[in-house]
Amino acid sequence: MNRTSHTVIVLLLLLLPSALRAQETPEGMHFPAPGPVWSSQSAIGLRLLTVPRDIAEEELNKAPSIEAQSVLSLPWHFSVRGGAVLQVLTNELRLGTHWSWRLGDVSMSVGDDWAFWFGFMNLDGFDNRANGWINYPGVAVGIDLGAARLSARGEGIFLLSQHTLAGESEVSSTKRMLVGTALTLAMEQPISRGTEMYLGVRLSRTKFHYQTWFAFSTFDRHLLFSELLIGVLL
Amino acid sequence: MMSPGAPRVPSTRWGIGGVRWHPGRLLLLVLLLQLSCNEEVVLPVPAIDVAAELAGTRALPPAVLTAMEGVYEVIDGQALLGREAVVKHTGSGLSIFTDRDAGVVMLECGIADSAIIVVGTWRKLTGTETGVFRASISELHGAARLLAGGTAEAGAVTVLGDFGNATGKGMRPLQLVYRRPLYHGPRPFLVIAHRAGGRNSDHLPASENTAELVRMAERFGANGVEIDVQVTRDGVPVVYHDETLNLRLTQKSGLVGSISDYTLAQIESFVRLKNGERIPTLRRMLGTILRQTTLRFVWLDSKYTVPVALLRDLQRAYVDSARHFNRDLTIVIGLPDAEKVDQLLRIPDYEDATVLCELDVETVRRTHAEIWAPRWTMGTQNALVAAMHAEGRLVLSWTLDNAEYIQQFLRDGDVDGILSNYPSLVAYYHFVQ
Repeated sequence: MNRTSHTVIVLLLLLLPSALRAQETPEGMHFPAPGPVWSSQSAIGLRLLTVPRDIAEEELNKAPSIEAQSVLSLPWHFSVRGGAVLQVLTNELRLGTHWSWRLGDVSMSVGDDWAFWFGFMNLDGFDNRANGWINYPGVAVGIDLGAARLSARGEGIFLLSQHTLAGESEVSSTKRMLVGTALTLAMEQPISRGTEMYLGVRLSRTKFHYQTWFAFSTFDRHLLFSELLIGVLL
Repeated sequence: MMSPGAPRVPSTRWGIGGVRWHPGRLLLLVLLLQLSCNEEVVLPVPAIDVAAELAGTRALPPAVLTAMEGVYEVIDGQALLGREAVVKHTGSGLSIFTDRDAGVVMLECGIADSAIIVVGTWRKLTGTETGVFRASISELHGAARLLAGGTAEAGAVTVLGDFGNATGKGMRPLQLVYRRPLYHGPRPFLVIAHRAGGRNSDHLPASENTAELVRMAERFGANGVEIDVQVTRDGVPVVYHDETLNLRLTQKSGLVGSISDYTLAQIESFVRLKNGERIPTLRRMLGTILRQTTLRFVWLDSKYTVPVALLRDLQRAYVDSARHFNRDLTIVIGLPDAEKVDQLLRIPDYEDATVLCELDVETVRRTHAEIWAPRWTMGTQNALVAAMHAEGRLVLSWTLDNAEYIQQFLRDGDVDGILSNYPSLVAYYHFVQ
C-alpha cells in the first residue's frame, strides 16, 4: 500500500465513531465537557502552520495539513481522544485520555496525549526520513456562551525520541525533555442547522516542531509557531 | 445554558452581556493573533573592554599563538566548554571551539610580566547565551616555555581563569590543560562558513554576507567562505542571499522587489542590512578576503540573474591578484542549477574556470567541475565520493549544522570539506579526531 492509502485508512478510522455514534453526542471537539457515556464525535478540518522566519527564511513558510479528530466519551467523565494531522512530508497521529467536569457554563479537563510523528522527504537533493514520539500533557477550560463554545487548552510538549535518516546516515536520540508549551484557543459554533464548525489558533512556543523536522534546525531556543485551525464537526 | 449532550442548533442568542459573537469577527481575531507572532531576539553585549584589559601588555608573537594550538582537557569550566576544547590561532588572537551548543570563544592576547593574558567573549551559537572570558598562563604553567619558542606538550601548559555571563557577574573558574596537538589529517580539510560566517538567525555581530562578517570567519573556525552573488540593474555583482529585499536581511527602506530592480547607487543610498551595513559589492568582498584575511577558499554561489561569465571575469582577476600577493586562495564559481550550467557551457574557455557543481556527477563531469558539492541530506554517498576522488575532484557537503551528522560525515564519510553555519563546530570535530 502506498502512503496515500495509509492516509485514507487513518482518516476513515478516525471518522468511524461519527458513523456509529449514538443520537446524543459530546459537546464539540475542543470544548472540554463530559459527554454522554459511549457517545462520540468526529471532526475533519485543515491546519495551516506558519513556520518562524528563522527556520523558513525566504522559503515557503506556510504548511497546510489535513486534520481529523474523534472523541469517545467513557464512564466517570473520562474520554478518549484521537487525531491525525497529515501532509505526507510531516504527519502526526495522536491518542490520549482526558477527564473532564462541568460547573454551570464552564467546563474543564485534564489529559495526556501521546503522539507518533513521522515524515518523508525524497525530493531533489533530499533523501530523508524521520519519526519520533511526543507527549502532550495538558489542561483545558471552556465556557458555553450559548451561541458558541470557547475553549482554551494549555499543553506541555515533551520530545521523547527523535530518529532521522539522511541517505545511509542516521541519528537517533532519546530525549525526555520539555521542549516547549502550546496554547490552543478554539471556538465552536453552529453555522447552519445540524452543522457546526470550529475555528481556532494554536500557538506553540517550542524548540522543536515536528512539522519542521526536514529543516534539521539546530536552534536551541524557543521559537513561536502558530497554526490556524478550521473544520467541521461530523 | 444547554444541557450536556443535547443536539446543537443555531441559536438566536448571539451575544452575552451585549457582546455579539460572529464567526467573521472571530476569524479576524484569530488571524490577527496568528500574524502578530513574531519574536525579535536581542542579544546582550558582553560587559568587557578587551583593549582596556590588555592595555599595558605586550603583543604576543604569532609563533607563540600557533604554539598554543591544541586539544585541551577542561578541568574546570565544562559547563561552557565540555570535556575537551580546541584552541586555535585565528586572526590576531586565539579561538576556542567546543561541542557544547556550537560554542566559540574569541580571545585577544598579551604578555604581562612573564605571563600570557587572554581576554575575550564567548558565544553559544545555537542559542543566545554569551559572556566574558578571562584567563592566563603563568610563567610556571607553561608561559616561560612558550615564550622561549618551545612547543606545548601534554600537561605542560595550563590555562587558569574564569568566565561569566554577559554582565560579567557570576564568574566561574576555568582550568584547561594541554593534552595533544590538533588533528590535521592526510589531506587539507575545508571548513567553509556559510554566507561569509553564518546566518542572520544566529544573531552574529555582523549581518550575513558582509565584509564585516567575513573578517570574523576565521575566528569562527573557517578557512573558507561561501558568499551569494547577485547582480544589480546596472550590472554590478553584489553579495546578497534572498530573492527580494526583505526584513529578514535588511532594515526598513521602502524599497521592494529584487536586487536586479535597482542600480548599485540606489541600493547603496537606500538599503542597509540588518546590522546597518551596506550590501557589499563582490569586488569589495573579494578585496577584503584577499587583503584582510588568510582564508584560502571562496565559493561564489551564483544566484538568480548573475551571469556566470561575469563571475568568470572576476574570478580570473582576483586569482591573479592572489598570486601577486603570494596568497594561497582558491575562488570557485558555484553552479546550483541547470540554467547556470548552460551559461557556463556557453563561455568559450569554460574549461579554464574553477567550478563547483551542486548537481549530479554526470553534470560535474560535463562541466569539468573541480568540485562536486551535493547537499548533505543525500547522506555520505561514499561510492560516488570515491569516484569523484579517483577523477581528481574534491567533494564538499552543504549546509551541515547538526552536530551528530557532522561527526558521522567526518567519521564515516570521505568529503574534503563541509559548509556550515557553525564552522566552529565543524572545526572542533575535525581537530579532535
